[in-house]
Amino acid sequence: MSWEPTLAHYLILSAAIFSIGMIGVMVRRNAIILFMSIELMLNAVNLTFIAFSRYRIDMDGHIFAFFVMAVAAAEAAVALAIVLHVFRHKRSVNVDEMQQLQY
Amino acid sequence: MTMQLLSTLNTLAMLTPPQGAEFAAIVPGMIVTLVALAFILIDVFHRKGTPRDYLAYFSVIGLGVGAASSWYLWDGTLEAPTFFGMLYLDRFALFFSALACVSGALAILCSPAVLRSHRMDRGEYYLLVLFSVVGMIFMAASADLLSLFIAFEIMSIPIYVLAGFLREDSRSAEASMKYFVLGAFSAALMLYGIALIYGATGTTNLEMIAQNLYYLEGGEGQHAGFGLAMLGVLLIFSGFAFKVAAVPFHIWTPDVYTGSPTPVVGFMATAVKAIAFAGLLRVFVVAFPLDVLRGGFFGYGWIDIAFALAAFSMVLGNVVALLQNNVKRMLAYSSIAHAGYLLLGFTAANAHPRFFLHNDAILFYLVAYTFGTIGSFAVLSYFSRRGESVETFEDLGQLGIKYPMMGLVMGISIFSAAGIPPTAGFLGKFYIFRSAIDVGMQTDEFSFIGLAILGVLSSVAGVYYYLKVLIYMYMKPEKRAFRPLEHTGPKVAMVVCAVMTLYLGIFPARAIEITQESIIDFQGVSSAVQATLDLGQQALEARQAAE
Repeated sequence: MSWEPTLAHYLILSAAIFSIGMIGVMVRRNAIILFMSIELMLNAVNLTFIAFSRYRIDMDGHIFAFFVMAVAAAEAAVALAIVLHVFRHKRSVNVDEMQQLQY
Repeated sequence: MTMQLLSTLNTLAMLTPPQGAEFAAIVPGMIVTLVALAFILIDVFHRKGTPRDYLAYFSVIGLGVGAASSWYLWDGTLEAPTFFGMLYLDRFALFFSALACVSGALAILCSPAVLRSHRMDRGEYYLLVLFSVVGMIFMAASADLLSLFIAFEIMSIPIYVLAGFLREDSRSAEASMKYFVLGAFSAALMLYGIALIYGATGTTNLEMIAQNLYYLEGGEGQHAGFGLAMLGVLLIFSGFAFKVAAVPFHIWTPDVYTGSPTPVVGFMATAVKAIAFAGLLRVFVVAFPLDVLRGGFFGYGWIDIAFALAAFSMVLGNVVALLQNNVKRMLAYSSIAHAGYLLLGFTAANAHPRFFLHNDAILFYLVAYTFGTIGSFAVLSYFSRRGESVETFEDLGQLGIKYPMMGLVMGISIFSAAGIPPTAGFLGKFYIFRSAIDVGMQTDEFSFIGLAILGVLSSVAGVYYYLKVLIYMYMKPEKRAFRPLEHTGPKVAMVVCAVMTLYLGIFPARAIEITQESIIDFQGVSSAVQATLDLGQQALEARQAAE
């Protein structure tokens, strides 16, 4: 018996990964894990793009996915720089400790 | 067979944008890009220990040339999307590229002294502002969700860095962190929305999305793809709402505004908000026309969501601003309230195709808001005390009497933000509320009039906290002595902002004409909106002939 994954399977998978990323951003407290969760969200989007692209036999989605990867790389570079910057000041990357601005 | 292929190709040619590259469409963006690239080179040859003020002046000149080039292209606009279907070259895009350039230039003028007082006189600062302006220019012009997303990120990423530019200030780092996490999160949401729209419609071109949505919605029952597209619309809207700082997406605003360097706050409060509104108009008017999508979310269309956000932003922004004692934080909440007023204008003008011309009120408001807000941030960034800038209301004590010019500029900016005549802010609010009431009267829908009344009442509440600034500047005793950062740049920016605020408030005719021309030249709209635009064009020509 052969089983072929369909568009719906890919969409459910990518929606699940996206939700895991979203929940990660909301509940995790380590800045690095936070960024990893955001990357997870972006890659779930890539999966959606590719699935739709294959489904429609259309290259636009592939192209979009490449641009998303490039943007995600740029974001990651900036993200790590910002984490380092914060670490230099607080000696910690726990986002709960960033409460200097709330008064 | 050949005939069939030819006819298919013909329909494709109608659907697909022209495959030519009209380089005029990228001229303003290219000018700013080239200036920024030249800076990378110039900064290498910089002699250590000397000030980098010349970079600031060069970038102001470059941005001025960028703005002038949009003026030069004003009469050479094109009807179809150009540059491989990625960009529009219309007056709407040119208007916003000029606005982004002006806002960037004014923010840069305020910067050198502030950077030096924090020992961060670096060339990268100007580069980042310029690259962000490039993103803004392309965002207002984008005709495709791909170019829109890339421009969105080019605009945002430099600002994440700029927010944390003061390396020795831990609050700046925190602001940058908060802005980045929430910004990247909202960008990811928006991107997921784009993916769903692509899946539902099979294209990322804005005009083709509108066409395909029309087919999806029509026919026998709603296609399953329509639900996907609706979710996508909602996600894209939330991405924009984050950038304009409308209420459920505003949490980052106060913290980021408080921690970031003051000139950067001026830049992100004005240019980013203006361009986010440009992108919002572009995407929602072109790709998601209301006659197709009305009632998509359980009977509510995106216009109803914008309506709700407008009401919440106006009320919450103004009420919470009353409670602040940090000036930058107060201005952050007031910028949330301004997003509410703008969303009110957006909702009213796009409620029905025949009111589309009312969008000129948003454009005028954005110009007024840009000059008023940068004026007040220029004054705040002008004072410092051992590397600290003005923070609380008490810090402002007596500054208006000791430095009359700063007091005057602050007064004009604050009057403009509060909407007191004869400033530009008054006329901006007036046009927004007038368009809402006009739409309410014509459609017999009380909701728009009610929202306009809510807006007027909340802006009356806003006068209290705006005037508090002036009361502290003139009537309260001095707690800590702040010194002015002696530098010409901020003074020039302040004079420009104050003069423009008064000029637009007293002689608005030319500016209104420009905003109307930009709206009339808005490309890619549905045929119903196009009919409104043609009527507007005729009315404008008749008026110009009469003069």
